[in-house]
Amino acid sequence: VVTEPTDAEPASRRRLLSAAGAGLAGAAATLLVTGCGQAAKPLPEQKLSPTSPAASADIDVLNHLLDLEHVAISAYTAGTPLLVPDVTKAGSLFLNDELGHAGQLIGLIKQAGGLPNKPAPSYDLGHPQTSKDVLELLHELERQQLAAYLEAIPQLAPGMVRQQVVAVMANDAQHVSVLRASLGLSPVPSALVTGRE
Amino acid sequence: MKATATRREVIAGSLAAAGFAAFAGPAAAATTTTTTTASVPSETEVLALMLTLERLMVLAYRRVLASGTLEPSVQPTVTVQLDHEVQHVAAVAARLTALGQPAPTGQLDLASGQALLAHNKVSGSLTHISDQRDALRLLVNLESLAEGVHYAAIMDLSTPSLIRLSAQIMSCEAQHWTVLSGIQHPGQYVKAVPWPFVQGNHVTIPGG
Repeated sequence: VVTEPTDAEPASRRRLLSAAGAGLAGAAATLLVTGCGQAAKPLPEQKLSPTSPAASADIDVLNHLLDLEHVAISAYTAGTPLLVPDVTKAGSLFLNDELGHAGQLIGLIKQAGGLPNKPAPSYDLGHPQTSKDVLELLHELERQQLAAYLEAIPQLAPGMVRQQVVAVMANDAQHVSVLRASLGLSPVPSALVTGRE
Repeated sequence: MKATATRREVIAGSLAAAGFAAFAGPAAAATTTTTTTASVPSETEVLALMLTLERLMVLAYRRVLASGTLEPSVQPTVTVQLDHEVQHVAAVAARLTALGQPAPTGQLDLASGQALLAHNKVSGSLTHISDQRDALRLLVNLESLAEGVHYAAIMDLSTPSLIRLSAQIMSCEAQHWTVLSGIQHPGQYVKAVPWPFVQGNHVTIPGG
């Protein structure tokens, strides 16, 4: 599912993620078959730089964000094959990003002494038939993520945890720009990102 | 003499270099910096640095548009992003004003802008923009700097509404980065969204 990028510099760091993401991609793919009764594999923990752990009160907040990442992973996994060739590579790339985000959140939750939520056995993603349908679905899910991250970040402590989470939010905002451009929409619709635009 | 600066001193020094003595205070007296410690800058200091960077962005976008180097198809995109930067200045300035601090809203003056570029080792010039490639590279590099300022601010701010504002602006700057890099590298998504985590580039103290 995950396409290995070919460009030199960005790819070098991406490969580091892919090493961890290879197992994650397998777990994501499992989401598609768990509806037949198989158990989903847990997502491995992302390697984190040393930091102060999140407050235990933030575990629920982080798990809510993780739930949304699980949905996005399943949508990119199921939807990317339906994308037209021009944007298939973006779908694969963004799936890899979402896997990294989930791993990051799992790490933060565990550092805070919490138990990360596992993916649901299946998700109702509707019935997208075309590349445009998939892009619209992904756009909607990314917007939901942005809104959730924006609500969550001011609640989190300490500041280093906020930093790690805002780094994810900003990347999702970049996904939104590419998805919007692919849909023929303005890639940066607002000076202040809210997730509602 | 080697000195260690706190984050407060780093910010104050940067502001002093940009001509903001009112914000610099005694911490600006710090000389050489090599490392930072955990002393947290005040929210007004953080906001003042955010404002300085956003005013630099306005200056840079205007210089790029005035250079006449952009293809007609690219100009509208850059114009939209300039408008966003102007809105960022207004939003941050309003918060500073509410805290009783001076908050200039015009673009940064050229000399201060060039100094900030040099201090932060940003390749490109505000005065010598020879072609579209130069122009886009300058803006991409500055967007990285803007991302970095907000990434740092998210850690130091404590008021929820200010944290939220900084996250909103940082995400917008990340989108700008992606659009500009996308123009530079059409169809190469890995160049437009190269990392799963956006951190930008750190702002360094002048003379550090």
